[in-house]
Amino acid sequence: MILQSIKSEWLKTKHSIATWLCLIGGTFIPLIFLIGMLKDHRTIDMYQGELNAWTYYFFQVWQYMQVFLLPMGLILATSLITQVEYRNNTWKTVHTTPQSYTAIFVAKFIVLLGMTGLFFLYFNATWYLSAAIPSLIFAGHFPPVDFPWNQFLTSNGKILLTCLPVLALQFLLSLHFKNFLVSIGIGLLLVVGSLILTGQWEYAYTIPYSYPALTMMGDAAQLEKIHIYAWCLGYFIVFLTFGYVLYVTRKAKG
Amino acid sequence: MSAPENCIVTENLTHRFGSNELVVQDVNLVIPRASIYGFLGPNGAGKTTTLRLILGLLQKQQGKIYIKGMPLHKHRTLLMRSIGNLIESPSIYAHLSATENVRIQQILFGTNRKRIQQVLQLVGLEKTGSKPAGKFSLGMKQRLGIAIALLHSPEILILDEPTNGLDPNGMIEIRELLLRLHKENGMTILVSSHLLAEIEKLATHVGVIHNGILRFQGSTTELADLQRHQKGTLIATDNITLSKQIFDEQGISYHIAENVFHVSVENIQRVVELNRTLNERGVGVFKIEAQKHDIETIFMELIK
Repeated sequence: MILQSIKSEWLKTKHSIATWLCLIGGTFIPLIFLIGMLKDHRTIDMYQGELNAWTYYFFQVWQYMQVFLLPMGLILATSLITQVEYRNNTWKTVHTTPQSYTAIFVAKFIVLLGMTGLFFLYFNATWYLSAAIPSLIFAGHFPPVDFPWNQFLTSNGKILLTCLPVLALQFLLSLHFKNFLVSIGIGLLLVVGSLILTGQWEYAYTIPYSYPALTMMGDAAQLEKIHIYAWCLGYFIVFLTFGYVLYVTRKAKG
Repeated sequence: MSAPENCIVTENLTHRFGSNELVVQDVNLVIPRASIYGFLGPNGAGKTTTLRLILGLLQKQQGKIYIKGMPLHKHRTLLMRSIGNLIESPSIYAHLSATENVRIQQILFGTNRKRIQQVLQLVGLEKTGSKPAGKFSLGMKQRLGIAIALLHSPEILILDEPTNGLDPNGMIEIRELLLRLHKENGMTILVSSHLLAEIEKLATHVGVIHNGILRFQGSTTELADLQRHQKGTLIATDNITLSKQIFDEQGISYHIAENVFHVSVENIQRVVELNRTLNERGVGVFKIEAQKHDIETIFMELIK
């Protein structure tokens, strides 16, 4: 049944603004870089130093995305995807289908993760092309340095991990509050608040929305010491569990 | 195990909004299998709340709900396979086409994919193509809602005001469709409405709810019996006390509503004699009227 639930939830994202947001949000920054490189006749070979050119370019593009655009995109996409039932007055239909409440909750969250995965896919694909195309045009070959697969996948995984608390709390808020302004408003406040406090307050890592910015701007040794990824997972589990309990025990279901 | 005779049964169903607002009070619905049960009541009477409770959309506070003999709270997901519903306004995804809207349900109910076109044809929406359902007229949305409710060929159909927002032609179409489903498939249909005429043309059984209390429940034959019992004459006089005394002396049963006597006399000759007696005893009679005994009068009496 869970597969049917996921399939039906995925169909709801068809032609939706969330799908476009995911596509545009994922490709926007790499496309800007691509245009810049084409305009200036540059390739990633210009990045010389300790880091592999691919790795350097990867972090350079990600830094614009990770600090603000990524959390904001997650907030908007979560609200758009989760609130589809409130917007269309369809909770009553969802809750009169032969699915358990757990299946509905899990399916909705998996679709959300799927859309986030798609966002990462769009970003990485466009990022790769933004490096490869200028090299092919101006140097006549792919970038000559080895592609750091291991580092590439690990970095993507870590960034995804920092997104989980945002996803889980936004999911909870979007499921619970009919008015989308509540979830978006709270999300925006938390993003801006954590941006202000990151770098100024030594305990900024206790704010669940600070992790994308912290991992980009913070001191790597310090982050390791405070087990930042454990914090991410902890918040994620707490928010998701709390969201589930709130959803299942809700008295009016449509 | 044979199927129970009654498809939906509620026992002392009671629901409050907040701590005080009692919206449904000790409602004991008995909806026989293969019946069309017209659930009547004015706006705000408690119809939608009762239907939402039956569908598990509201958490039950007091009472019991049985569907096909099984308690709803224990077998919700199983029972939902047997129920199609349309509660209040149509519930559809505005950014998806009619086919995609039905497809979502088809995936969940695991029905044959061909069924999507069948139900769309049934409600006349098979040619809407990729047009988003948000751009449909209210009538089309309502018909799409009915198509979704019918997709899995449910044994029970629960419809809340299904003709709301439809033009007279649309209302007739929906009525004919429901009658056909009942006749051909033996479907049990629970349909709420505040439109008495609509229910009168459709239902085999009727329940009347007002202020959260079930005022009447039974077959349309039982309702006709009630109509017969309600036959009589309305008499308004200028002396209530003396009139009561005269009716008592004559052995005529009566009740008073808004200073008008409803007397159990309908024979014209007998009414003339009664009028004469009242006049002779000095009682002025300023209204004599045969009591209407159509369903509308009964309905108004029930919700008084």
